[in-house]
Amino acid sequence: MEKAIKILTQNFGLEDSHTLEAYTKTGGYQAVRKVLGKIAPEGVIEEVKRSNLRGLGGAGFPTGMKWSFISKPSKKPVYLLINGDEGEPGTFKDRTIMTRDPHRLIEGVLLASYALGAHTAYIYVRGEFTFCMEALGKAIAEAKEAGYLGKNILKSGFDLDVYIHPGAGAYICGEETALIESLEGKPGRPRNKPPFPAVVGAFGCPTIVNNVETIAHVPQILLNGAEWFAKIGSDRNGGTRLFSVSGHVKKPGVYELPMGTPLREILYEHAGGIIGDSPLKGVIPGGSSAPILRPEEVDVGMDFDQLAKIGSMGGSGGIIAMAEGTCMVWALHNLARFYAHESCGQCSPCREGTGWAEKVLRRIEGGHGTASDIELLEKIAKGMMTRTICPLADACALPILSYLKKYRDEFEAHVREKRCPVRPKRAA
Amino acid sequence: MASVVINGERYDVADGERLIDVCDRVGVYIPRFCYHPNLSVAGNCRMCLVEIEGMPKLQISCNTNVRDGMSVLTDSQKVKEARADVLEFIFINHPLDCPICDQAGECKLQDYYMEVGLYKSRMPQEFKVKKPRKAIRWGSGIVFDAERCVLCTRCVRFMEEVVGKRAIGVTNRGDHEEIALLEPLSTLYAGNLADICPVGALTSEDFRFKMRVWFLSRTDTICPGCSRGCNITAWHKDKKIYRFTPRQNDSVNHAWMCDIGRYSYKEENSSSLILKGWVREGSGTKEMATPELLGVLAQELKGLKGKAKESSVAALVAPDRTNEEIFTVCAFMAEIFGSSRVVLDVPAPKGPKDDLLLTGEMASNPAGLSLFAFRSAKPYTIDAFKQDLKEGKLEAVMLFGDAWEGLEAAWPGMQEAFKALPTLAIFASKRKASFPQARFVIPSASMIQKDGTWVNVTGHVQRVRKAYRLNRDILADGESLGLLAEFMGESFQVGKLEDITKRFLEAIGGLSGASLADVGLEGVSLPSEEQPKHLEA
Amino acid sequence: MSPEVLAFSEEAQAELESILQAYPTKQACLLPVLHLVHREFGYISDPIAEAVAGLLEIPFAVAVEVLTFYTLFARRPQAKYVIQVCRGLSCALLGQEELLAYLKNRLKIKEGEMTPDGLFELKTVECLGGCGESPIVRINETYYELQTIDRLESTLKELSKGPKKGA
Ligand SMILES: Cc1cc2nc3c(=O)[nH]c(=O)nc-3n(C[C@H](O)[C@H](O)[C@H](O)COP(=O)(O)O)c2cc1C
Ligand code: SF4
Ligand code: SF4
Ligand code: FES
Ligand code: FES
Repeated sequence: MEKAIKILTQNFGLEDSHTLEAYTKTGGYQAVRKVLGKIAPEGVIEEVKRSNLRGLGGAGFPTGMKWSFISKPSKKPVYLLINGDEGEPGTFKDRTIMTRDPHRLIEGVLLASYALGAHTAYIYVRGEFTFCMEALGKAIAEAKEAGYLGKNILKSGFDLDVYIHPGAGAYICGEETALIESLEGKPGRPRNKPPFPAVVGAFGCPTIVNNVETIAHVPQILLNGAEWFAKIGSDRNGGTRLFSVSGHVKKPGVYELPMGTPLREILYEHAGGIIGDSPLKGVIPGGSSAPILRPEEVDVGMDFDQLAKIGSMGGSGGIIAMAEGTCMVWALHNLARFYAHESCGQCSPCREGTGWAEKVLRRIEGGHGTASDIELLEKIAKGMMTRTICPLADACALPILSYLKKYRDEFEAHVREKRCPVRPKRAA
Repeated sequence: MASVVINGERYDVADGERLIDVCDRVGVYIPRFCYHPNLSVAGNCRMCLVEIEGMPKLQISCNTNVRDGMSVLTDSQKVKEARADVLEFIFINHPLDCPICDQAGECKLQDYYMEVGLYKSRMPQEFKVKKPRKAIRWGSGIVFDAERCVLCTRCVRFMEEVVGKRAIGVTNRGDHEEIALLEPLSTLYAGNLADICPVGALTSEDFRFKMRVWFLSRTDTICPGCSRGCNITAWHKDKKIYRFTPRQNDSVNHAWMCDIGRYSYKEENSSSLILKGWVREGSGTKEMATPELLGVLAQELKGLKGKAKESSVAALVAPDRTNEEIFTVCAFMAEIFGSSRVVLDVPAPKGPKDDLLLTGEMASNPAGLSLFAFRSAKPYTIDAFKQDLKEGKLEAVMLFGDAWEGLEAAWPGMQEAFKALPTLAIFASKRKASFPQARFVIPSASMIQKDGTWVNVTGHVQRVRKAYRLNRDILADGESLGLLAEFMGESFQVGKLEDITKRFLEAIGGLSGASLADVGLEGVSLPSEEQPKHLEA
Repeated sequence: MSPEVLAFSEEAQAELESILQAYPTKQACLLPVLHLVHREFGYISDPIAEAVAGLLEIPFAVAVEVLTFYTLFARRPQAKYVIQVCRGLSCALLGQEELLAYLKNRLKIKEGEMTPDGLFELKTVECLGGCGESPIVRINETYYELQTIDRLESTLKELSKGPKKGA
C-alpha cells in the first residue's frame, strides 16, 4: 500500500484550516499565481483533461472534457455553478471542504472560471448547511479583501465574483439542471435535454456545473501537474476522492483515498471494520442510488469504471455498510421512501413509480405482501427506468432491482411468513 | 431539407422540425398528454417515447428535432411496452369511473388505455394519494377536478404563455404535486382550458354533464363573435347547438377562441332566433308564413322601381352578413329597383379588444362588407342615407342582418328617424335584431343554417357552413329575395353559392379566380395590399 | 398586498440589498429572499409570499410554487424548537427509530405536531448529510450528532429551561 496521499484534506488537521492564512501558508493560491494570465485557458483545460479528474458529484464525467463543451468566444456570459447540494443519502464530504478548507474550493473556482471565461460563479449550498454558508461567506470576504476575487485579480486583468446561493430542502436540486432552475428562483424541476447547460444553462447562458470536491482538486492539479494527479489514481480515474463511510462500521467518517482503493480496505482498515465484528451483509458503494454489493464483492477497486463493471456505480462516494441482522426489505423501503419524497413530480413514471414502489415495499415489509408483489415491484422499477427527464427514477429503480436480485430470498421470506423474519422486534 | 425514415417510410421534411409534428402530418399518431403544438414543450408525461436509431434510450418525440438521416420507430415492441408502462403509472392515481366522467369520449387517458387493454389498475384503491374528491369551481366557467388531473401542465402553460397571466400553478412535489388556482382566472379565454386539458380535470361548467359527446354531430365553421373569425367546430344535435370549440388554424386563432365567442352559441339556438316572420298591422302584429309575408311586402314595393341615384328604395347591410349575401343584396337592388342605394359602411358593434384574438369589432364580417364597399368609386354612405331619409326621398328601406348596435351607437335617434318611412322591412335571424319600427320582419337563416364566406380582420376569407335549417319559414336571404322578385312579377336569379363567392372575390380583387373550394377548411388570405382598409385607422 | 408588510430590520435590509446585486434577474433572488424573510418572521404565509412576490416583481403563483416545492419553508408559525429527526438510511441503521419513538412518547406528540406550550415540534427529515455521526437530530439550525436517548433528554431539558415562545 502506498503511503497516504492527502490532497483535499491535507490541511484538515490544522487548527485554523479554514482561514486564508492557514491556506496560503501551505501553498494556497500558488496555482492562481502560476496560472492566471500566464497559461492560456485552453492550456488549463488541457491540463485538467490529462489529469483524469472525474466529476465527483456522482456521474464521474471527465471534468476537462466537460469544460471543453463551452464554445469560445461566447457572446453571452458564462456561468460556473458549484454543486454543494450534497443530498445523496450516505454522503457528507463536500461539507468538510466547505467548512474546513473553503479557500481550496475558492481557488478552484477561480481557476475553473478562468479556464471557462466565467466572471460570475455561484456556489449552491444545501439549505440545511448554514454552517457551510457561514464559513464560505467568511472565506469569500477574506479572498476578496486579499485581491483573489473581484476586479483585476492579481493584476491579471481577470475579474470574478463568487456568490453563495442557498438551497431550501430538495434533493433533486443536486441534479444539474434542477440546480439551474433553483438558482433562477424556480422549483427545482430538471430540464429536458437538449439543450445542454453548456449551451443554454443558467439565465439562458452557457453554464458548467461541477461538484465541490471536483473543483477543490483543481489547484493542486495545476500546481503539481496532470501526470502527478493521474498517477495517484487508477486507470482513467485520476487522483483521490473523499469516501464518506457510514452505517455499521466502527469508525465512520470521511476518508481521502486514491481512486481505485479496494472497498475491503476502506471498510476494514480505514473504517475499522464492522461494529461488533459482525459479518457484513451488504454495502452500498456510491451513495444510496448505487446498486448494493454483497460481501463477496467488496474486493472491487473503488473507481467509476471498476464499479460500473460489476453493475454498480461510483456515484457520490458514499459507502453505507450493513451488518448481518439488517433487514434488506426494510433498508430498501427506507430508500424508496426517500426517492418518493424527493421526486420533483414532473415525469409520470417517476412521480407515480417511486410512490408506488414505496407503498408496495411498505406492504411487503409489514408482512402484508403477496408473491405477486415482488414481481410487481420489479415491474415498477423496470417501468420507470430510462424513461424520464433526469436519472432520479433510475436512482430509485436500480437499487430496487439489485436488492431484489441479491436478496430475493429475504423478500420471499417476508411474503411467506407474513412478517419480517430479520427484525422480529421493531420499534414502534 | 432533411430526409427521415419513420417506421420504414421515407419522408422529406424541414430540418429541425419537431418529430411529433412531422409524425402528425404524415399520419403516424403518437400518443401524448403534455405536448400541445401551440404551447412550449414540457416533456413531462413521457407518453410520446419513440425509438431512434443509434440511441440506446427511447426519446420523447415532442422534444426531438428531426435531423437528416434520422430513422425512427414509433411502433416497435420496445416503444409499445414503454407506452403501456407509462400509461399504467399515470393510471394508478386516477379514478376508474369513466362512465360518470364528463370527459368520457374525449379523454386521452380513456382512449389510450382502451388501446393498450389496461382495464384494471393494479394499485388498490386505498393506496391512492388522497386528493379532494369534489369538483371545484374555478370561476370563469371552469370546473377543476383534481383527482383526474395527470399533471401535464398544459393549463399552466396556456395561462402563462397565451393569456400572459400566471394564475395556475403546480404546488408541492412528487406524488403530492397538484395543480392549483393561485389567482383568479379572470380572463376571457378560460374556456380553452377545458379544451386543452387532455383528461376530465378541467371541464366547462356550461357543458358539464349536459351531453355525451358521442351523441353530437359536428360542423366545422367560423365563430360569429368578432371579426377575428376563429375557426370552430359547432357541436349539435336535433337542431340545437351544445357548444362551440376552437379548431386549429395557425393563420387565424391557433387553437384558441375567446369565451364571448364560445358561449355565443346560445344566441344561435332557437330561443334567440326569429322562427316566424310577421307584419305590423295597426297597433298589433300578425305572424305569417314567409312566402305569404313576402307577398304582402311585394305589393308595397311594386312600382317603386326608379333610376339608380334617384331610387326611393334603399337597403342597409349589417356587418354580420356573408359575402354572398352582401353581393346578392346589391345585385337585387340594382336589378329589381335599379337602385345603387345600398349602405355598406354600417359600423360593427364595439366590444373588448386585446392582443390575443378579440378585435373589438363584435361582428363576423365587417371586413367583407367594407372590401365590397371599396369596390365602388362612390359608395352610398350612411351619411348620404341619413340625408335622404331626412329629406323624405325614401319610401322603402330594407335591412339585412342582425348587428345593428354599432350603427345605433353612432346614430342617436336612429329608430326615431325610421319612423316616417312608409315601408321598413328587416331580414334578420335574431330576435334582438328586430327593429321596433319595422313593418316587416322576415326570418333569415342564422350562421348555422347557411353556407357562405366571411373575411376576417386580417383579410382571411373563411367558410361558414350550414348544419341544419330550423324550419321552412327561415330562408337564406337569396331565397327570400328570389321569392320577393317573383311576387313583384320580376325575375331575379340568385345563382349557385359557388358562383356568387367567385364573383364576390373577383369584385374585391386580390383573389380573382379563387373559388369556394379554394377557401376550404383553412381559408385563404388576401394579398397584403388588398387587406381590409378600414383597419388601418 | 403591498411590500410594506415586509418591515425589515436594518441588517435584513442590508442583506436584501446585497442579494439583489448578486443576480442578473430579480426572480433569482427568490430563494435567498425567502430565507431572509423566513428568518425575520419565522414562517411565510400567503400575505408575506405576496409581498415578496411584489418586491421581486414576480407572480404570486411562482412564489407559492417555490414555497411548496421546497421543504425548509414553514407556512405557519412554528414551535420555538423544531426537532428534526433524520430518517435517512445511515441514521436508521444506528437507532433513529428508537429516538423517534422516545421523542413521541416524551413530548406526547406525533410527527408533524407541536407541544401545547409551543416549545417543541417534531418532524422527520431525509438524510441530513451528517451520516458520519449518525444518528443525527437537527434542532432549528443546529446539528446534534451521535444522538442517544440520554443525550437527547439532556438537550431537551436544557432547551426547556429557556423562555417559552412569545414570553
Ligand atoms: C437526482 C440527482 C441528485 C444529484 N445530487 C448531486 C449533489 O447533491 N451534488 C453533486 O455534486 N452532484 C449531484 N448530482 C450530479 C449532478 O447532476 C452533476 O452531475 C454534478 O454536479 C456535476 O459535477 P461533477 O461533474 O463535478 O460531478 C445529482 C444528480 C442527480 C440525478
Ligand atoms: S425523473 Fe423524477 S426527479 Fe427527475 S425530472 Fe422526472 S420526475 Fe423529476
Ligand atoms: S388540469 Fe388538465 S391540463 Fe392542467 S395539468 Fe391537469 S390534466 Fe393537464
Ligand atoms: S407528449 Fe412528449 S413527453 Fe408528453
Ligand atoms: S442518514 Fe441521517 S444524516 Fe445521513
